[in-house]
Amino acid sequence: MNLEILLILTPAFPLLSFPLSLFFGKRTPGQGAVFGILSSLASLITSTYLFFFAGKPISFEKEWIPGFTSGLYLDELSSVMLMIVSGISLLVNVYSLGYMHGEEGLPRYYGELSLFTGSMLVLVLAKDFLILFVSWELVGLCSYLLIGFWYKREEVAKAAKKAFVVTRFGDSFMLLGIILMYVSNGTLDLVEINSHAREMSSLLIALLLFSGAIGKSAQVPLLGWLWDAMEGPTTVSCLIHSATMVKAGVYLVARLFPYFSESGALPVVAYFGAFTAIVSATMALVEWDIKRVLAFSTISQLGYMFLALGVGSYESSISHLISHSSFKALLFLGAGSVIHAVGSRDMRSMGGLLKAMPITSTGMLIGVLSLSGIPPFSGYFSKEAVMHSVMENGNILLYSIGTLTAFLTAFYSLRMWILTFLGPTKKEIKESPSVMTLPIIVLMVSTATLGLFIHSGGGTPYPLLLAIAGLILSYRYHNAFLRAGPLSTLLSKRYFLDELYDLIGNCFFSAGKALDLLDRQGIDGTVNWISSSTLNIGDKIRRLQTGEIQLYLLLIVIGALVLLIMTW
Amino acid sequence: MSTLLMVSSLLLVIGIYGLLTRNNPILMIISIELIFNGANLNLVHFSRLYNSMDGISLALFSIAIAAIEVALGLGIFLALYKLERKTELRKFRRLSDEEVSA
Repeated sequence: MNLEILLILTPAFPLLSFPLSLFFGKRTPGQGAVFGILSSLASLITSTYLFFFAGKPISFEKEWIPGFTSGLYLDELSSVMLMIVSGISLLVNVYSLGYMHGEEGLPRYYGELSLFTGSMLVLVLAKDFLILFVSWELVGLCSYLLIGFWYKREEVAKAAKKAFVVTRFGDSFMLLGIILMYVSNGTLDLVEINSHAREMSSLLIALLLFSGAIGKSAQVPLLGWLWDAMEGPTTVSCLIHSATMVKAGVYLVARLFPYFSESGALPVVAYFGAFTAIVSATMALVEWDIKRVLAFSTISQLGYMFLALGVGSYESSISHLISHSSFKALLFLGAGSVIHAVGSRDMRSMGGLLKAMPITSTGMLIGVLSLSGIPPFSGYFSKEAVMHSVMENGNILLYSIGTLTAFLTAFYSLRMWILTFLGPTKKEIKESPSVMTLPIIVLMVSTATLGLFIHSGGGTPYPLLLAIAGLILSYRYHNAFLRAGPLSTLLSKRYFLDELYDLIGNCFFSAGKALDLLDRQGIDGTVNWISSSTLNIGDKIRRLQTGEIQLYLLLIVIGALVLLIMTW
Repeated sequence: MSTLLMVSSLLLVIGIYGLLTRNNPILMIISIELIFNGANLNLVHFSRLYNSMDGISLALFSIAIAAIEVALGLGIFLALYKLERKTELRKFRRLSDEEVSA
């Protein structure tokens, strides 16, 4: 079969499913789920085929505007991403059958999921910045729409808005970078940029592009939106805010890796990643919301990926991306299963679910161990690979941050598991239906076996040792950080990050108000004063026109006399 | 010679004065005639002074036009009187802006 056709079909299936489920969803089984499941299954099949049979990079190009060609491009990186996106999309669509059962507006939900899947696939396949940016914004839009699925609740609408605005803030810098790229190099073609990275490299453009990645992948300082995004359905958090969309930033840097390394932006990427990893890991220590713990861990693991990219290890970053997609999707689906059963996201109302939910608890345990980097699960191998490359890079600071984060990760993730599944039973509940446990089982298997395909490099025992220490400590003192006084306040307020956002926002708002005053009172005031005084003078002078003909005559005579005197 | 010029300027001034002070249209037309005649006198005077017939012929034209103008003016006033039943010029203030400003 012609591979180029498959290349187009892969994103075309879900993109086609979007209008179908939106308009005909009400009349089909599962309120549109059938389109979502079938299209993502079709995409999964084509992307698997492409993964195994493409062999060498293939591209499809067409002239859009005369002189500007645009198209799709597939290499190893994008074919891996294709499989992750379509695979997790399929699992989430199936899982939604149980999780979202009986919700209102399901055709909209499935339609938006399909639109998201399609745009994410296009993003991954983009050959040039134009398509990349369009799909980049489309996934942002879908993220906004899906976070705001229960838009009637105010905090949901606010969270959706926040996610959109904050990521958009990063995107505007990215757009600037793209424009600069075109102006200075005359091309937007990613492949061409990479092959001429040395001549085209510019630190400024690389940093601007990285700003877009920061917004999308929730790195410091644009990370606040991701934990608020947990207001959306858990399925959405799983698909968009852990497994796929937030990886777009990592993907962008990975896609332009030659460019970033030539332009010297990689150390910046590394420090941002490391800092984010540890900052968000500490926030998770005192969190009570199960989904937010997972959100913090997502941010933290994304930090690891940027760290790996920053120290120049492209492969370890991508392997961590792959294994993280698997175990984080597993954790989110497990958390969704718990939330579905308990009816709350607060871990204080959970506890003792181990016996009632055997599949979910086993899945979550595997996810937690994988997240903590415990062998033989996939997270161990990929984290080892990341830490190995950091050690090879020789930067002690980055290495110790990464190791410390490994400890914190193990601590908070086991804390989450203990609070959810151990302790006294608070509610009588049952295991979730099989449409929900089946995806969990699939992800359990993949999380347990993916490690076989990852070459870790090995040789750095400290992260593993500290992770085990973290697990043991967490088992004994899982709420230790809650009793830490001012530290716990600082952590549970999330370093006052939202307040900082507000402060910055208010500064700009006040500056805007001052400018507004200057505009309205100063500039407009002058203009208005000129016009109103002209009107006033005109009104005064108008009274001279009395209609008395003899007065006019008198004025004529006086005028003539004045002229006469002047000419004398 | 200058006596004639003085007479003509006197006629002009008297005419202007009458125009500015009288309220009766007939009297105002008469004042206008005075101004005309002052001008005509000037024309004739300077015509004699420079031995040229131009001024005198212009004066003749001017007299004819003045007659037409008087006829026209009287006609307008008659029409006005028919319309408004008054002739005092100060009472015709329709062209003033006072309604608008009030």
